[in-house]
Amino acid sequence: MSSSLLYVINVVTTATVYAIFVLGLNLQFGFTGILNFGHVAFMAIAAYASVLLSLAGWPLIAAAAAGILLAGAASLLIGLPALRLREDYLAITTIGFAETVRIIINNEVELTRGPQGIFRFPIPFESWGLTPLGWRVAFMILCLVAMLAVYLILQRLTRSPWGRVLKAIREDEDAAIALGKNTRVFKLWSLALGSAIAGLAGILLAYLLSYINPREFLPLTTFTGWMIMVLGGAGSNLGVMVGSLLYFGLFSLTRPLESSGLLALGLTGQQVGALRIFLIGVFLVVLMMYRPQGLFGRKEELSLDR
Amino acid sequence: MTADVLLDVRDVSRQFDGFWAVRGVSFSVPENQIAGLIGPNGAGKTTLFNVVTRYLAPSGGQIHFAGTRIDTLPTYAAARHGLVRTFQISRVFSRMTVLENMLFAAPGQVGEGLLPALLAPRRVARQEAELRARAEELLRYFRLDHMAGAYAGALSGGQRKLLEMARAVMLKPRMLLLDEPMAGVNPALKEQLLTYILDLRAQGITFLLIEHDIDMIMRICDRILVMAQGELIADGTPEQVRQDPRVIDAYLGASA
Repeated sequence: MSSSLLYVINVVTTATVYAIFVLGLNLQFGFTGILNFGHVAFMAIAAYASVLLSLAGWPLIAAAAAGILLAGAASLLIGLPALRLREDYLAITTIGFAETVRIIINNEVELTRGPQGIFRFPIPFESWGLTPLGWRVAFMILCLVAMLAVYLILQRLTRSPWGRVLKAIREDEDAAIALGKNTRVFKLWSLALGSAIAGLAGILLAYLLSYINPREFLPLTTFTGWMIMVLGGAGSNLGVMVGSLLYFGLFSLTRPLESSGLLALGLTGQQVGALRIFLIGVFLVVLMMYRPQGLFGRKEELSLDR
Repeated sequence: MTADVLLDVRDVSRQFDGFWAVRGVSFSVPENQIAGLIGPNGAGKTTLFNVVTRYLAPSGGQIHFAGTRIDTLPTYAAARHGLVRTFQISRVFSRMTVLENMLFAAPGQVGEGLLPALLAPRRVARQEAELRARAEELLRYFRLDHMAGAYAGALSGGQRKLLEMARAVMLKPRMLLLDEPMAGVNPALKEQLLTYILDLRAQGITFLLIEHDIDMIMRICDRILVMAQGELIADGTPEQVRQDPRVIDAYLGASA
C-alpha cells in the first residue's frame, strides 16, 4: 500500500519538476520562437553549481539561487553570439552547447567527480526528522509550490506588453524591428529567463534523485521536454503543465504490463519495458493526428498561414 | 527650404558582390510631401528602401532623418525617430489578434519592461486601456473594427494591407515608406488606400512609396523619383517625369 502511494508521489513530483523545465522551454519556443535544443544544459549547470556550492558550505537557498542565476547567465553566453542565427542553425548550436557542458562535467573529475557522480549532498527538510514517506510528501509540496510560482510569474509576463513583443518576434522578427522594437534584448531575456527556470528544475531534480551524474543530462532530457510541450500545446503555460502530468501518467499507467501475463507469454522483462515505450509512442502519434495543436493549443492558430 | 527636409539621402550606394544594386543616389523629401519611387523591375527600388530603413547597410553614403544621421544606428532606431516602413508582402503577426497587432506598435510602452510587467500591473493596465482606445479608434478609421478580435492570419489580403498601414500609423510616424501598397489590390480598395494616404498626409505624415501602378502614382504624388539600373535618372513633378526622354527610354528599353 505504502509502496504504491510512494510510487504515485514519485510520479507527481517528477512530472512537476519536468513541468517547470518545460515552462522555461515554452517561454523560449512557445512564446518567442527560439529553437533551444540544448535546454538540458541549463538544468545541468544549475544542478551541479548548487550541489557543489552547498557541499562547500553555502546555505541551501543561497546555493540554489546561485545555481539559477548561473544557468541564466550561461544562456547569455551562448545567446549573445548565437541568437543572430536563423532558427535551425540556433537549434544545432544549442545541442552542441549542451553536449559540451555534459562532456565537461564528465571529464572535470576533480570538480564534478565525473561519471561516478555525486551522492550525499544537503537536501531540503533534512533537519526536520521526517520519515521517508513524510519527506517525499514535503518535497512534492515544495515542487508544486515552485511550479505554481513559476506559472503565475509566466502568466503575468506573457500576457503583458512584454509578452506581446515576444509573440511578435515569434511571428515575424523583421516586422517587429520595423516597428521600432529592439528584438535582440527581448530574445536574450526570454532565453535567460527560460534557462534560469530550467535551472530551478535541475536543482529540484538533484534533490529528488539525491544524486547527480552526467548521464541524467543527456540530450534525451531536452527532447522529453519538447515532447511534453508539443503534447500540452506550445504557447500554453497551463497546457505544458498538464502535458507533463499526462506524459508521466502514461508511463505509470503502462506499468501494470510488467506484472501482467506478458511475462508468462515468454516475453522478457526488457521486452515488456520496450513495449511500454512503444505503446506510449503510439498514443502520442494518435494524439498528434487528432489534436495536432496539443491538448491546450488553439487549432485556429495552426491553420493560419504565416 | 532645407529646414523643411525630413529625409535626406546623400550619395547612397549598395553593392552585392561587385554588382551595384544602388549607386550614388541622392535626394531629399521635404516634410508633408508624397513622393513616389518608380522604375523598371530590378532598378534597385526595394534595395534603396532597405538601405534607407537600415535593413541593409549602405556600401557608401549617408542618410539623415529629421536632422539625425540614421544609417549608423541599429535598424529598430529608424522607427523610433518616426520613420516607419511597410513591406512588399504584408507582414502582419498572423497568430496575434488584429487588436494585439495594433497595440504592439505603440511606442513608449511601460509594460515592455520586464520589471514593470511583473511588478506594476496596474500602471501597465492603465496604459493598456489608453492604447486600446487609440487602437480601436484607428481600427474604426481603417474599417477593421469588426475584426479586432480575429487572428490577423484570418484577414483577406486587402485587410492585411489596411492593418499593416493602421499598425504603422499607431506608431505615430512622421514618415511612412510604403513598398508597393497597391500591388495585388482590387480597384475599390486601391481607391480606399489612396484616400487614406491623402488623408494621412493632411494630418501631417510624409510619404515615400514604391509603386508600379503608374496611373495611381501620377494621381497621388507631388513628386516622382525614377530609378533605372541602380541610379536615379529623373526627379520632378509627374508632368516633368512623364515627358522626360530618359524615363521613356528606361521603360521602353526595359520592355523592348
